[in-house]
Amino acid sequence: MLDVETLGAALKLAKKGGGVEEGGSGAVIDDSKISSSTTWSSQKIVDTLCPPFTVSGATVQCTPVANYPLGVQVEITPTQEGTGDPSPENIRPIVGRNIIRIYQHAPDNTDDLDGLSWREIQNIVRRGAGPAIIPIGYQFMVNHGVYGTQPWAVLGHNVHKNAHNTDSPTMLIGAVPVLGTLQFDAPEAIYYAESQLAAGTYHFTTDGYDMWAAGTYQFTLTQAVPAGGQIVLNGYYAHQGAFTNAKINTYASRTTTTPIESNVAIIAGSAGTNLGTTGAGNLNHIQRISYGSNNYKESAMRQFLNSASPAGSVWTPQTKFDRLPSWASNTAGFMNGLDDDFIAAVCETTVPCGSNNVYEAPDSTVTKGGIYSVNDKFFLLSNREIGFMSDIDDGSTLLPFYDGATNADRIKYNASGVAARWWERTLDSGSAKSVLIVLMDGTLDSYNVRNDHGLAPACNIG
Amino acid sequence: MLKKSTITLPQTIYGGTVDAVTGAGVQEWAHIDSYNGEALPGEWISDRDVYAPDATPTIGAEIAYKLATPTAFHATGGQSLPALPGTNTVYTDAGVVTVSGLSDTVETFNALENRIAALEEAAAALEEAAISG
Repeated sequence: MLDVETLGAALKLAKKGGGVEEGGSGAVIDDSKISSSTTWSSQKIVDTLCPPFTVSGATVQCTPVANYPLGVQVEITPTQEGTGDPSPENIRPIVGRNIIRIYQHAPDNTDDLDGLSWREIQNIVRRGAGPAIIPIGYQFMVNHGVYGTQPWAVLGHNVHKNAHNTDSPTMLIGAVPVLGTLQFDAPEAIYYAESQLAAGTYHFTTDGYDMWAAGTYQFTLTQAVPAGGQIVLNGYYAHQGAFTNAKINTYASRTTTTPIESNVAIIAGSAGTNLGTTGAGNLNHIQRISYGSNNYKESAMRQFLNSASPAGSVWTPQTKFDRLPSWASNTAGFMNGLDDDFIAAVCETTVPCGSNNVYEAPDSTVTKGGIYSVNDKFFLLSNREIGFMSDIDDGSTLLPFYDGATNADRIKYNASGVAARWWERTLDSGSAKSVLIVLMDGTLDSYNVRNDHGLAPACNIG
Repeated sequence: MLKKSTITLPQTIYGGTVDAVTGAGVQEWAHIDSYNGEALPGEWISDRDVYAPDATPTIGAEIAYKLATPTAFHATGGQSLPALPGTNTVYTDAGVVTVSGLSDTVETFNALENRIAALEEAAAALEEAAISG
């Protein structure tokens, strides 16, 4: 590497063995000629030997002679707030400038990144300078009102597309530790009352699952369930043996937790009105009535991650079978605890997802056995993004941060320093109720979504 | 190392250029808070209109327009910007940046050497694959 300041010293050393006399013994600097008694200055040597360059762009990269003065011209281009064509319905104020900031970076260290505001970091990314300035693995500290100040690592550059400007660069960051635990999605209703269900005896048929035997079962309601109401299993009966050990509650709506009647017995039998077969029409899939739905797009988890609402206002039902998650009444949305300047630096990105091959609700916006995308600010990482190439190919790609990662590299710790399970957004495609998770030893597993596991959100700056 | 330098403009500038070292600037665009039919010498942008060469902005619109004759200004905070060791990345929060200087020939040679070594390695791997295949 050439350096104007050190070149003079180097030349002096060279002269000692090169037959050119030192200035003190007769040689003097003379940029107009070289002779046995005159020599060029280091400035003249650099000016003569090093070719000039000029580069322009939103972000430029160059390899100049160190310490040599750079010429820097800034072109201020007229800009407007907002997006789309300006019109009386889409007023886009014109933005002038009173201050210009110029940033210059060389990759010898990243210490100064710590002092940047989120707006400045966003500007680095938007200018396309992220890959040059912010290395993969660099950790930013992110404040959260509930989870404290935690490191978020740079996982990749330009992995996901900005949902509103696909050409705009992005930088993916993800929480290094798990930020507490959370239920992914709640067990769902077994039946949705499209119209009023009068008091009386009803039966349904199921092909069984787990410890529930296939067969036809009946129950008797003493009170009507109004249109829009639900019938829900009372408690977690999946591992309590026969279906006939289960009880049901009825509710007037998808959002109420106060039952119309509760602990209604289920017995084997086919008396009364036939409601149909589980997994068809208004009868939910049998896996989901005790374990919940693994549909990421319609999950309570996704609503939590992208909500700034207070506790009690985060979750809304996404399908006719959806039920309130365990945290609905006492947990504010994830964005509720984040600083405004951080949220402003996070862009909504298009996140690839996959659906299961087993079941989706009739009113779901997701098709069974397919891939789709969501446009979100905060999301969970996918199986492929963290280096597990098994299960569904949702179009997501291995993140640079996890390229070559071992299981040990995927271990995340909780606030107590204990290794914890953490949710992915990728589901187990062979079930309607399980999502993939990373275990305490960094290996892969599949868990029912009704469980509480570690929260490790990611987002894109841009 | 990330160096940040700040240039303060003498007034709000909507379009133009400024030398980050000397502070010398040229204002190329002017601004009108509420357009009232003024003659515009050339290109313009409006907060509520899409520009067309033969059109004029809506009365009352906020606009910026290109000056027929740019005017000079002087910004404060301009300073010498010596090159940092290694590859320099330069950008601004304002628009396009143009950087000039002298290329470090040693760095250029090193980059070429690395590139040639990588190409030779790839060629050797291909040759080996061809022989064993």
